[in-house]
Amino acid sequence: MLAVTPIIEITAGQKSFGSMQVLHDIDLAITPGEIVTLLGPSGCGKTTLMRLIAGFEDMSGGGLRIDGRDMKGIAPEHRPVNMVFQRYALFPHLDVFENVAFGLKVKGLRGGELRERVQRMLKIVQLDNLANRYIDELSGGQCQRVALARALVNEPKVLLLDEPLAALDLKIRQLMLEEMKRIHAETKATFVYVTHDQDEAMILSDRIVLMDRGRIVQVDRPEVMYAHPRTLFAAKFLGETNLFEGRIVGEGPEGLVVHTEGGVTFTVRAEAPSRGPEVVVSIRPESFSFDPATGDGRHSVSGRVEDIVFTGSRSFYTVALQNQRRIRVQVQRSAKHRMPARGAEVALFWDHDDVAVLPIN
Amino acid sequence: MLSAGKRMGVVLATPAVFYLLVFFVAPGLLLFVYSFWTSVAFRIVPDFVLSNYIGSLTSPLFLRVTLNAITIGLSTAAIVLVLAIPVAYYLVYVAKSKLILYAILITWFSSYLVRIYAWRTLLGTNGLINTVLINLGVIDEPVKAFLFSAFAVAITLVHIYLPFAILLIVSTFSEIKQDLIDAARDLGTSFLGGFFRVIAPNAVNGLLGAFMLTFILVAGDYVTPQMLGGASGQTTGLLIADQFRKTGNWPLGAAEAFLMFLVSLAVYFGMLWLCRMTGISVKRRPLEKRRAVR
Amino acid sequence: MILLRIVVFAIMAFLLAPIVIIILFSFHATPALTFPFTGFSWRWYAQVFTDSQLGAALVESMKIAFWTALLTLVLGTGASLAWLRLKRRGRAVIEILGITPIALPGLFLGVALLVLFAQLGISLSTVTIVIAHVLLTLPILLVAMKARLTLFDPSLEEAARDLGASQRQTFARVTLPLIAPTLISCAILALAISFDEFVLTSFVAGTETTLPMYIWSMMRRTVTPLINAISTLALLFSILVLVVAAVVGRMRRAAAVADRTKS
Repeated sequence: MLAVTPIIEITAGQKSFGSMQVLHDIDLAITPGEIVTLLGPSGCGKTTLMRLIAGFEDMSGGGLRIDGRDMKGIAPEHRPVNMVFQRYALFPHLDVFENVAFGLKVKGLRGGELRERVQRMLKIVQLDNLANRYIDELSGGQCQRVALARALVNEPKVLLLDEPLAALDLKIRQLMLEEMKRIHAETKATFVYVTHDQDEAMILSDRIVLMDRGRIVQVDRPEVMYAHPRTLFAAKFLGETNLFEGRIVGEGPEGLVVHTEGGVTFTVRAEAPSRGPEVVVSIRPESFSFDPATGDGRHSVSGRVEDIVFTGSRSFYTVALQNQRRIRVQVQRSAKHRMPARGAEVALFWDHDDVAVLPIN
Repeated sequence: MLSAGKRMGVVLATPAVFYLLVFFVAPGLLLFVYSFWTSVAFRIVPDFVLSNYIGSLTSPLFLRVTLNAITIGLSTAAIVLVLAIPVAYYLVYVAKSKLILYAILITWFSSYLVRIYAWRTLLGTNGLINTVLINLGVIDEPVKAFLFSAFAVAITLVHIYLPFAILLIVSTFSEIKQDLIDAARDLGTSFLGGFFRVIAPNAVNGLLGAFMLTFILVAGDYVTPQMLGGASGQTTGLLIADQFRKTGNWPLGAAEAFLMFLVSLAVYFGMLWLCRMTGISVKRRPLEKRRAVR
Repeated sequence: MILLRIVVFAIMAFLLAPIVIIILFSFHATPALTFPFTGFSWRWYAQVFTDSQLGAALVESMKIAFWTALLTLVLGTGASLAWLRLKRRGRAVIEILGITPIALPGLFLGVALLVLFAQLGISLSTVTIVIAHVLLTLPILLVAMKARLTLFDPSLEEAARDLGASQRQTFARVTLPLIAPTLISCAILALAISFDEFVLTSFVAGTETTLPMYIWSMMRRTVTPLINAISTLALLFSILVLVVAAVVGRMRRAAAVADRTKS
């Protein structure tokens, strides 16, 4: 990253509710203009972290600076951030226009400028024709747009989004994700996005902050985190993977050599975890192939096709090795190669760049 | 921030809490204290005697009118409940008729005294019902027994308290989703079966509440029996009211009021017990004590 | 199903018939309250408007109803807002104190207040009647508000703060507008209850005469279409209040939209 002043900077952040500590040692710097996702299972502390930034909770320890300013003791209404609430929290007694105008009105804006800014924002979220509707007259997707507009019209330095798509169904969710990318490009605000959905995180984020049990586990670009998870938790939480428990037996010219319980030997181009030699090897389903050209055909294992799930462009295979260990394989449909059928004896190939080695928890 | 909100809450609650302490709790306690005092030659003297309670409980008059009040209360509340349930059911599950709802609201909002007056004119010897019956040739001379009878009291009280009970039960039913009835019907229960097996058990607390509220209001209502009940119209309420307004023996009246209150409590717990015994209301047993099903 | 419909309509007929007959005979040309109906006349209404005692009772009742509604609104709004801010124990105090009076008959509250006023040496007047009436109406408001407030989404207040509203602005622009419709309809209900209250009033009224007390004294003496006429007017008043409440609620919404399109 460039040496820009971070828009949000948390150092040694702590939060406890009574005797329950829900956030430990949070260190996080967010660059202006990026979309950062706080990702993790429910109860990992991601929502609490967001509420700390918004000012609804006080930190129990550590520091928080937004745009270079210390936020200690600053009430939510005086912070340069706005939030999109999980169930939107749209005001039912106000119509769309008034909801969006709310923040500007309490700052004392009136008349033509108010109307202009609200209308411009409504245009951005494509709701200019629904300005007179009340909230109970809108669909879920429309509510979502109102919530976005209501926050963004204040031109916050940071927009906080608390699982904003959780209440929508799948089709609209994908539409809204694209919409949100477009709005982000148009407004150039910093987005901090809380979700437990790895797909949303990967589609949307510049960087993902992966959290588990009140701690930040890994911060990386989505593709890096997917390809090189640093912990078992990260590997399991982001996407599907095949895990093999094993033991590092040595280091060859191509990397670490790991013998695993499946009887498969992996060579990994990576540094050995500090705690070793017991490790877990992770390899994604799509890293396996039936094509001997993959990874020069040097790494392979043979087994029998047990099950095939066909989903259109891709097929998911379950392949049983000799010792009954099962592997999930995902292959792209291809006109060139004939796909193996159920019961067929097959060889699986992979590129050793696609193998990750992780410490056992 | 939280503590500031909480402090604000205490400040905001203070006027109402203070009001209720001064004009509800304090008078209640004072009345209780009064019930142990004595009245000597129309003057009320602080004392600590149980004679007011003992006197009431051994007085045949008190026991008779109390029994009368309980009978009127229980029977009216039962009739009200039986009539209110179908109307509420109809409003919630069959037709969400605004017209019927408005009609109920209007009856509820129409004056208490006016309704007593209405039934008095309807049931009198020269009243509407007698006149119509004579004109139709059903009877030859006016039935005197319509007015000043337990029947007149019951019909009027039902008319007065039914709208409120309907509204209470409507709100109870509203919390029970139509899906439950549909599911019950889908699983093969009849229309009535669906009501008794699914709606009633889930609504039992609301129904019991409506019954008890009606009972308390009816048993304490002494004006209706007085106006329409004739000789049968004397209830505990009237006795108490007279102690305060005519006789001037306030301590005795206070004791009678508390006895009345105890009776209401007893009826409430009695109903609760009855519901448990008959299995209408189910008290959940602790998890570990439940019958194992294999 | 058809049976249910018949039963429901029969019950509704039972509820409405006496009221319809009261109204009908308020227009009767003769003092008789029996069929056959011998002709229409406004004479009883004319008599209502010339009865000065009745007029005084009416004014007294309206005055009491107004103050009762106002006091109920003020105390109830405070308690409702407090309820939103307090945790379990604070809420329990408000609920237990505020809701128990409903479970007591007016008679009990009446004699208890009478004893209190006597002990404190407070003479019975319009003020004591208002105090007594609020004891009936405040609990009703609190019960209705509790149902409304449990549905209140606290994140709405947070959203307002997040958008830059101070505590006071949040209250004025979000919390109050959201609970106001329920508060107002409860205040109107309080108005109607107070206007009609009789039993409790009779203990704490002293020498004051309210409309129900006036009707009561008339009812005991005689049966005349004059009472029907008063009753019809009182019912009309109640309906009017309800309609006004409904219209006001609807108008606010229309006004908000109209304001913006104009400016």
